[in-house]
Amino acid sequence: MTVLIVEDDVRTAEFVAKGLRQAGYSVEHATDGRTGLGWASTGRFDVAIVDVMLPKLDGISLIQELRQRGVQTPVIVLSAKRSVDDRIAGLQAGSDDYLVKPFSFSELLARVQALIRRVSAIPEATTLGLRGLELDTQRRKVTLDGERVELQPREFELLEYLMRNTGRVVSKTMIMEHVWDYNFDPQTNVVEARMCRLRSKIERPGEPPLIHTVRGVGYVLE
Amino acid sequence: MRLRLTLCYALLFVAVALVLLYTETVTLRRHFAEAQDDALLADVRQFSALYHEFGLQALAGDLRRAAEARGTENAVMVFRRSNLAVAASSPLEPWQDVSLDTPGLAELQPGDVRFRTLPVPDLHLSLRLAEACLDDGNYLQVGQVETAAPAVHHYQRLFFWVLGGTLVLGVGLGWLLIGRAMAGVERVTQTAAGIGLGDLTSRVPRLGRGREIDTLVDAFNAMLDRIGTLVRELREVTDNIAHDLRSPLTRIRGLMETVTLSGESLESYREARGQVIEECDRLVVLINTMLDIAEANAGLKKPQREAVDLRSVLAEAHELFEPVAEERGICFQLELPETLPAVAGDRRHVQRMVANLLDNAFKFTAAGGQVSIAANPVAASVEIAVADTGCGIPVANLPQVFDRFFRGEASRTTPGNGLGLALVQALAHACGGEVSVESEVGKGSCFSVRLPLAVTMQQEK
Repeated sequence: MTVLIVEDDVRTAEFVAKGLRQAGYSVEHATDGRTGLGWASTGRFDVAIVDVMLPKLDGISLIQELRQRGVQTPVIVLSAKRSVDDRIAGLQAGSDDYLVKPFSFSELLARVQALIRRVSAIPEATTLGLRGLELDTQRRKVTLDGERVELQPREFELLEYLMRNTGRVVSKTMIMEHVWDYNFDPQTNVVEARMCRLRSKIERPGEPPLIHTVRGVGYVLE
Repeated sequence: MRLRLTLCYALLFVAVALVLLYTETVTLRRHFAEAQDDALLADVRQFSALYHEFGLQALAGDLRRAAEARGTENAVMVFRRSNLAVAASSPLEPWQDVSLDTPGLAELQPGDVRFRTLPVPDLHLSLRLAEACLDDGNYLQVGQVETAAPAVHHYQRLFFWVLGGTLVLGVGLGWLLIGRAMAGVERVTQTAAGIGLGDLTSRVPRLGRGREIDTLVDAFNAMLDRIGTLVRELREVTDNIAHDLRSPLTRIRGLMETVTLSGESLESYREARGQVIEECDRLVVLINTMLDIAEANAGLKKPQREAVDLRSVLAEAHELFEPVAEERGICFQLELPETLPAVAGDRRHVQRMVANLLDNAFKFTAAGGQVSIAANPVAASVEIAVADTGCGIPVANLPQVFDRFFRGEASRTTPGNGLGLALVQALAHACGGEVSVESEVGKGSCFSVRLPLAVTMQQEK
């Protein structure tokens, strides 16, 4: 899997590239819009990450031109602008996702993976499993070592989201957005409290925990 | 400027007056000439009738009497034989310099009448002469000094006097009036120039002279007030940013520095690492919230106005905060009526307002306390009330609780950025709503947000 980063800020590009390489992707980096367009036009990338403010050719024009040339590589836009209008402009130009700076790397990684999954069109599994834990999305049933676990609807969605991202860290903001459709994280520790309750239902005392807290970053199921 | 305006108006005035004078003169002349010709023609008819009835002798006497009655220097009448020899006439002495033997007289046919204008030398007058060929081939000339010219001259002289007077008065008055108007504009200009130099506090004094100038002054001062408010807000925000960004940055730097210098265990590194990320996130939230408030306050972005189902938003919020309440031993209640009309607003903004009010309520409520959220229709709006049994707010602080970065004594030690309630107020105002608070120290607080009904939103359209 190869990812193209078009970003003029070298330090941002470096940490994104480093993180992506650690996650097993090969990464190429263009520092201006025109070079980025040239490389992206070859169509050999699985995902492109494009900054909006770029020298020579801005990100939005780059995506428009790329789509006109018939290249369908999924694109994630990075922008310092966070208003809804800018988001819409990015999506209308033909991008597939939009991320506002400063972003958390785990969120970027999750979105890259989501786009690759979408393009490769692997049907989403309807049953997810980890150790003794099993989740059936169609029958909305969770079992732990064969025993039925009663979860509230949001707890079910939260667990499903964690299980679909097994091994990947998801941030509180991502959880708020996916599970509650809130685009902000309230000051009160609502996610911690919910996670605490979920843990008490799916983890057995004495056994190693399933949900791990990564301080400052989020949660990971493994 | 003042001189130029005055001169322009004077010039325009004179030009219009001259055109008026010209047309008046022409009309007057024509009018007088026609009246005189009519009179001469009547004379000709009268004298010829007299001649036919009573003969030459009677006519001769009549001509003299008529001329004397009109003044022999003003009128002249001549009766000529068909060979043009003078047979009878009024006294001809005053008319010696005028050639009354007009050329072409002999060519007139009996019954013809023609008019001539002859100059009277030395006197600068003209003689208007009606000449007729009578039925028996004799000729009759009746003349009268032209009356039009002196009358028109008299009129013109009068006109110029009046024009002159009006001009002097007009220019003087115009000079004064323009001066006053310009003084008003000048005041505005001077104030504007002062503001250009950085003095935003000055206002143009309202002198009550001239409605237009006062309107200009009012509009200008209103604009200055608005600019002043914006600049003050901007300055406050920058000051606060400078202050509130420094603290977390200091913590971040301090955290990393202590860890780096002490070279402690891997565990302390991990701990510091997490704390730094959390501090960074807080910084981002702080900046974003400040921008949100500024955006909502400035009205730069019109919020999406859609019909928001409050029941679902409030139920979701209750569901979201419920585990926290349980964890902290707080009784958390949701009180909703059976039906609730939709409100006009942005769903995400309503989510945000409710979550911020709940954040606030939970922050100040101790274990064993109570937090409740309720919504009820009030007039053309719905009131969302979030009540707690927390420590309450002193009356003196109530007016400030919605201010940016205001943090009461009780909240100094609790985490928070002092922006939550300010954002609630900004978002409520942005969608046409209102916020209010009631509180009693030791008993708790109740924050309310009133949002307009979606129905009124449609009526507005």
